[in-house]
Amino acid sequence: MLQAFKYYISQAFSSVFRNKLMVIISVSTLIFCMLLLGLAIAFGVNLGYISNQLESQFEIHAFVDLSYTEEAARALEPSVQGIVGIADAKFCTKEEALASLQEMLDHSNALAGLEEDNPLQFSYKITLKNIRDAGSVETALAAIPGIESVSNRTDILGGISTFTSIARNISIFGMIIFAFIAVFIISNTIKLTLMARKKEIEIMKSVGATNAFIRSPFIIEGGIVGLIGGVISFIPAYFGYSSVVAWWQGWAGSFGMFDLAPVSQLSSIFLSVFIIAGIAIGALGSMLSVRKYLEI
Amino acid sequence: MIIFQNVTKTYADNNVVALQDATFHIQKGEFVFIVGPSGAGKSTITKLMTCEELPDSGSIRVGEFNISKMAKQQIPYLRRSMGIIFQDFRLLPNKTVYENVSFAMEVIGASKKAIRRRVPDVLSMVNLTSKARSYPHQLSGGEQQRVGIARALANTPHLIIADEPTGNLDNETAWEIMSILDHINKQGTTVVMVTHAQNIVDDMQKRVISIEDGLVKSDQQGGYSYVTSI
Repeated sequence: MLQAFKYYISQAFSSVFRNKLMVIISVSTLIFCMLLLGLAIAFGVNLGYISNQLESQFEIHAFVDLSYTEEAARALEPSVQGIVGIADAKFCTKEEALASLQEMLDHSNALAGLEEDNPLQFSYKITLKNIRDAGSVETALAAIPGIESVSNRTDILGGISTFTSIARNISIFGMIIFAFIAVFIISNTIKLTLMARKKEIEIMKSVGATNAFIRSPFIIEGGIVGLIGGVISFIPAYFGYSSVVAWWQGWAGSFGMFDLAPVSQLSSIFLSVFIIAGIAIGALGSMLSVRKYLEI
Repeated sequence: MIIFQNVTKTYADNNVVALQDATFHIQKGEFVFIVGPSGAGKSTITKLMTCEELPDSGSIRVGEFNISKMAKQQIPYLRRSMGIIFQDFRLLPNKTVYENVSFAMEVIGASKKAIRRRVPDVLSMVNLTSKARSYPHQLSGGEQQRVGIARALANTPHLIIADEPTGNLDNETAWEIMSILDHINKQGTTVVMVTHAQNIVDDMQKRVISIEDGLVKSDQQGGYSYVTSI
């Protein structure tokens, strides 16, 4: 058994070295395929990662009519609290609103003097039990007399989800097409090996080698080509994603927006998925060709 | 050892009847020539024995294998029970004499130890010990065929099938090969040899099965000329 396995491996490796050109072509196609797969993974993982961040920050602001006094505004609390799906509703005075606005503007003096005649509204900051209820809670809030307007970030959340899922679907589609091309090219590489070793295979058959014994080196050869493609693909995927994250932190970090999934998390996913997918595509390609061209 | 019972084989692509209702038995330890003109169906017989082709009707038995009813997975094991010698030697040009022989053992999963023990034995049987490290292109035709015989013997088969083994060799070398085959047969291995070589068949005085147009014309002890004169 061990003897046979050693034989398969040595045959597979020597064949990879013999067919360098076809191996290079197969590996290049695989790299394309893997990078698209990587893109799909990056979008998918970040979709989840960003949604989680936005959900934890998510709150609805319900603004009270400007004509209301503080007392009248506070009197709305029972109606607000009564809405189904609300986890907590916190009353926010004009002063608090001004303070947080100032904080957002880095304590600049642009708002100086407004304390005397505060133009901001009383409001309620509402957190939800489940972000899915955002729509119905907003409608219910808007229906309360005295609530002038309702704002939230569902639009941002929705926009990001739609963008990432479209991007992910496009990259998955591209990946599938390239996977087919990779399987086709690898099966041709293996076909060349089979042709080159036709005589050897005939002799193997005549002395009673089993089909599995004849096929295994070719399938392992496909797997090796796939493994090489997978490992090489990891390099551009790793550096590509690292630079996207670095750029995002520099650009979006200053706006206090969400973060992207960390490089360490993505790189371990890239490496494991690329290796597994590469070997699978390679082995599948050679299996198809061995089945087709190796009538035993 | 080998039983052909009412075997008929037609090739679908050109509708040629290669073998028609052929019946013969070969006992263990026999030396049998299969003779006949080109296209008579001789090669079909060896292809049926090695299960490269399947019969349309009739039954074939080789040793413990019932070829007509055998599962496909059994074919490698059937072939391990026999050694095949080809007219064109079929050696691997990039392997040495030793490696060509050991290859036959490697591919059926023999251990390194068994290979190291067996290969020198079979090489000495065919007088090629001194050429173990040579490559096929460095050998004469007769030497190459001896390597082919050594390879056929490597897995200690009970049956040797030789398809025109002397077809590419001069007369003297052909006799060398015949004496090796005769020697192997005397040690108990059954030998079935397909041939055109009338002088060899005449001189060896073994059993001769003569095939013509897919039919077994005669099956008796003696020479080629004797058979065809009937």
